[in-house]
Amino acid sequence: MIDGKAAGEGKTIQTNKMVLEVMSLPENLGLTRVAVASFAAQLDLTINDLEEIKVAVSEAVTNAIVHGYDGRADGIVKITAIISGPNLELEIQDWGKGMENVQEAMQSPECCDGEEDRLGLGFTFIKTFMEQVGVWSEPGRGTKVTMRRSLPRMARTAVLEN
Amino acid sequence: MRVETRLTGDTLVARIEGELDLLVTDEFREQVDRLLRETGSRKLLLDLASVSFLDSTGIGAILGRYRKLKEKGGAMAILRPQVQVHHVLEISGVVRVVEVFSEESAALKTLREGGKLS
Repeated sequence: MIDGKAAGEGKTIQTNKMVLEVMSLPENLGLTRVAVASFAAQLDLTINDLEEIKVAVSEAVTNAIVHGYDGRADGIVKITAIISGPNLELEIQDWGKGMENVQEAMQSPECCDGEEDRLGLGFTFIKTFMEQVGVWSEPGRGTKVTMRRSLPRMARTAVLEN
Repeated sequence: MRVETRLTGDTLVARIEGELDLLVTDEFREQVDRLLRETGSRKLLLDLASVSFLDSTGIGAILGRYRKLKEKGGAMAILRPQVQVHHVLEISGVVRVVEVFSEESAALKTLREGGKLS
């Protein structure tokens, strides 16, 4: 059976869900990263996997704060994390200003040399570290970024053998 | 985040500690720029050994310092990034323009000789 294992208990987890809502404050970035990484650790992931997931979360939440809410602190960023079999699914949603052109925003710059222009690089990290990245956005309504991370092939084989 | 600095020859060595994300990048920029101004140094060695997290906002701040120094004919290098931080530096392309060292003496020697030209 392909399952995640609950830390320390030896139980297997088929599904689990975490929902976290935070104000759009940079002070909450560390919290969202650590919360998602702790949740994801219920899967058989390596430290490297968890570090990459933390970067992806940080990028999506930073986008919500900086671009969705233009740095305003009174917005809400909702982070949903779901363990579904061997996969971790993440959804980061804001109700900020939204984007006209999602594809344009996701374009990677030639080389990330701008202090202001980090949006393209942020999406590059998300696309590099996660799979099945999707972005829904509508001007005036907000943005929702979805992404998935599968249990790595080697770890999956190990679980199957057990 | 904490920044500890010392001047070694004409190179400002800045040891950064903590997580380099949106929360601290303004402070990082201001502190490093002020210290470069005060010391008059145009060479910067960023010691990232104690940086446990780096994302695109931190990358933007690091590259911003690199661009400023380059405009003034200066140079910059990075010292001892942790594995996960090095990974982010690689994917972002930073390592193509800023040389990364594991030994401070080698980094200082390269910076003394003018740093990586790019």
